[in-house]
Amino acid sequence: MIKGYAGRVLEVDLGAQRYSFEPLDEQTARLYIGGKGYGTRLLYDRTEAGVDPLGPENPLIFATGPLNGSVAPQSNRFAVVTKSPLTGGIGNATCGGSFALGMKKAGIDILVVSGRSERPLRIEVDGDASHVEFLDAADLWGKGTYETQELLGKKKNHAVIGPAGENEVLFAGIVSNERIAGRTGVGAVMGSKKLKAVSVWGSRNLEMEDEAKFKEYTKEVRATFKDHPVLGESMKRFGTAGILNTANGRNILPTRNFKKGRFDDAMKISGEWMEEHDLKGVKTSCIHCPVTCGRDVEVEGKGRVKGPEYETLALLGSNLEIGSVEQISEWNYHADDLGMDTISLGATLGFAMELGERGMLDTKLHFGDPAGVTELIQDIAHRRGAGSDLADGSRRLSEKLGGREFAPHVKGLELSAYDPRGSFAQGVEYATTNRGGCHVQGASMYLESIGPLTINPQNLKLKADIPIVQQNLACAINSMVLCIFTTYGIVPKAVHEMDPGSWKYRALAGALENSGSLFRLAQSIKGSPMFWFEKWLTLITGQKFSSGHLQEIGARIFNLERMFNLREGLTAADDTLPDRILNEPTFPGMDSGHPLGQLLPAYYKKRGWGADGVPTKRTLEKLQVTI
Amino acid sequence: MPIYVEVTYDMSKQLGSHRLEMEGSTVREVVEAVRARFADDPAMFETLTARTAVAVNGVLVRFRDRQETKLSDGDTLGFVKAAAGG
Repeated sequence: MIKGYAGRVLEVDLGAQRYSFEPLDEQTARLYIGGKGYGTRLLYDRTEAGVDPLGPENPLIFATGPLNGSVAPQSNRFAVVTKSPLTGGIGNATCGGSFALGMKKAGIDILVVSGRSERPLRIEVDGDASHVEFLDAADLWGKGTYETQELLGKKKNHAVIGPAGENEVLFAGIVSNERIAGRTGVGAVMGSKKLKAVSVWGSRNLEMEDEAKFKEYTKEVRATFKDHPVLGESMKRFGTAGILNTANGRNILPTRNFKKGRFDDAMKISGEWMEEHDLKGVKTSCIHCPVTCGRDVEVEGKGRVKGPEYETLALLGSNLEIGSVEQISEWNYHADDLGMDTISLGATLGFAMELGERGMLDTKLHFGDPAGVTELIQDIAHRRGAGSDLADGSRRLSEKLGGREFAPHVKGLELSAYDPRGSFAQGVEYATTNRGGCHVQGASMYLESIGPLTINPQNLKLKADIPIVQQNLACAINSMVLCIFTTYGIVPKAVHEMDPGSWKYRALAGALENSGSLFRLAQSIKGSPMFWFEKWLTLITGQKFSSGHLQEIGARIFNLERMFNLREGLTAADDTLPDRILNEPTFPGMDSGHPLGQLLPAYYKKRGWGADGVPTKRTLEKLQVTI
Repeated sequence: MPIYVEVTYDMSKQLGSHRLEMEGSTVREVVEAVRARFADDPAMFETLTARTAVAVNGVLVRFRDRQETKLSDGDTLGFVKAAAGG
């Protein structure tokens, strides 16, 4: 077995209450690494077209990769892969916490849950004894994710759902500690199987090809991170909320259901505000991660709880025109406890507010007014009354009530908090990303509009290239499995310290913006490992990984996801953005919205796809994507 | 109508507002007006502008006419820091 892998796949059939430990397929690991890549391969091979996402035939795959179980910073993440009940296409989400470490300690790379139980169940996996226990979970059913984990105890590592997952809310997530695999409704799939919780433990250690060098090198990386303006300073001080003022300053902060990119009260929901008013001195992180991007806040009646991330502050804050961290924190607490994705929740609430404003929905919800939202969040999770319609997300709500042109989703997945009208590459990424409108499948906005070395986010240069490179890289990162935030360290400290008005900065940014095809070409070189994640993979597995290797593997995963979506009936017509984003300008002097139509043909061509958005036979063969 | 200049959170506490109202017809003029506004406390100007890019209504002036970018009444000028999150 390749080093870095435990070598085992645990297959669990909930209906029959049977399990088996199978060997990990080395060839698949070589081609897809692990995590999301390996999981996607399994999902493609094990499902038929049209499989019911909430039926027993849809497998729920928990997947780790070769970096999990090591002490590498940002490496305690697992991926969940399944068919999405929200989009009808590929579903996946990654999550921090401690579950990934638990899986590797238990000697399990991949856990495949299939079938469906008739009654609430939970499973306990004793990796050392290679034993799985099926336990009644009636006493936990209905309980929140925090209480559930507390009752399950701290000695084991858990992945659990809350009432939202139990009630098959289509944007329900799976929670580990205080982190959530939030997107695409993976929690609804778990709930449909009546699986409340998975607990794993064991005492195995990760075998590495060169452990001594890995440890030595990891010390260097930690020092680099500590000194880095994003990973060591801004993230530590403000968490992800540090981005809010920048997004507002660049006019891309979703406001009033993506009607605007600027919120007058942005300051009141910013990282700076949180630092002074809400942060109680407690910064939190996933195991082994020095970045500490999490921070606790005080919620009345609940005490000290996890604070909201940037996405939550934007979607439940500016997007609803709520300028109160206290209020958002309370909603964030409830969403986490109920087990729901705050991005889809906030975007769907914003859509409902606009429907109400236009007289298309009978509701008392109003932008800028928190009244009724707390109760509605509970109703959504429990599918009570009007909450049940919102529990199906914005796309289905628009199909039922109208408002398709301002429903904030791509492929059914609600947009995250970067308005693509001020970030054209991010718009192409949203439109083409296989799981739908999400930013962490590439994070193109970092390179073009919010990071230290930005290019003009509103012309066409590189806007079809950046998403390809970033999507491929994200596929690889999510297969190791590493936190996507690691990519924010790629731009070195020296660039952060440049004065944007200086000639050096202008020369560098100009060179990037005008790099044309060199941009992708430079990434495709299979040279020596350069970045820490390439070196870690190399030192752990003994195989050589460089930018070129990761781009190739990432493209393989991305194209396989694409083939899964095409098999499920998605087409090029689904590679689009909401009409509002395409047609309504948000910047002075802008005639229209995002120029997706001008960029998509180039994107397809550079991807090696036909004009119909279908990967050519040659592309699939070149990438060794078997279908 | 004035040009609105956004300030940092710390400055907003001191100034009692999250933006200043300044006069000027180009970015250069307004930036100089801000510098003059803080002539007694140059550190504050430095805090506001260090390692930032200037944006007018969300568009970096680097992609327009830089310091000579013309301003209209009611425009918002911001000193935007690079950031990352998600």
